[in-house]
Amino acid sequence: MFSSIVVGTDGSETADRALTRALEMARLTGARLLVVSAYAPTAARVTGGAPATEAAEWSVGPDFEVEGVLNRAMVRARSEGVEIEARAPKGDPADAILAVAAESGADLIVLGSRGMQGARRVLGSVPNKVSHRAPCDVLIVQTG
Amino acid sequence: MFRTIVVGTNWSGTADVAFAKALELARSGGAALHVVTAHDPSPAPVVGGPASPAAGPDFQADVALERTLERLGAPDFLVRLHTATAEPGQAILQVAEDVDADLIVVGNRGMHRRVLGSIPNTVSHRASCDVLIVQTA
Repeated sequence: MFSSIVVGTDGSETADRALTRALEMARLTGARLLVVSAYAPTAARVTGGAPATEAAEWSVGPDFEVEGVLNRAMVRARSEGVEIEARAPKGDPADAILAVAAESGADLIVLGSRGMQGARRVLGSVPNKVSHRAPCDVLIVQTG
Repeated sequence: MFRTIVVGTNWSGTADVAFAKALELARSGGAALHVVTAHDPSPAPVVGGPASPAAGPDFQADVALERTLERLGAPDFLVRLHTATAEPGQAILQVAEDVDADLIVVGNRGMHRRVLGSIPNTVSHRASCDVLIVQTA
């Protein structure tokens, strides 16, 4: 049914639920998994900074955090016998996930229903944008 | 993984793509599959039409389900048909709530190509369970 699954994560507890579901789908269908961490850090992390621009957000060393998030996901997938690769594109998370999905020829994108700042039961901007523009199936995992 | 799956369909060729995926997921995971088909009551009813709008559409839905299942292969798990006279997105959400679904499967297309349809949009924004939007175009 699926042979290539892209899952987006920001390392949060709620995003972990999407990763769990993506791992289950991968095991069920024998698909390989591509984990993408492109969620921009929140402005709150820029201590004492001016209102964060996208460039500023990405200048505070998010590579280090993203690497940790992706490594944890990869360790977890491998312990469950799922073939996995990681991508850490910079920029708008939805655009990055869509680009990775298109490049890799994914047939499923798995995302949590809300971002870190999202209200409960409200679809986050990332899954909303991805679901409107995806070139493939999209599984929105309820993480509210 | 999923125990109770709800799929919405209008029995069109593109809807069949979503239906087939829901069926495959249900089979591989041993889940119950609930099929929802709805007629939007908002268009003006035909004067002199059937007194009970449920009578005709219900029968058609039965036949359509039978044909669809035949075409996709007979299931070995519970498939239940739900018909509703309501906006389809609302009908799907209502059935999902009633049967305590853990997954809703819908096609991505409305009437217009390349735009997420109003049904998947409504469902993805308001569902309290996982939603699989299937690319049917």
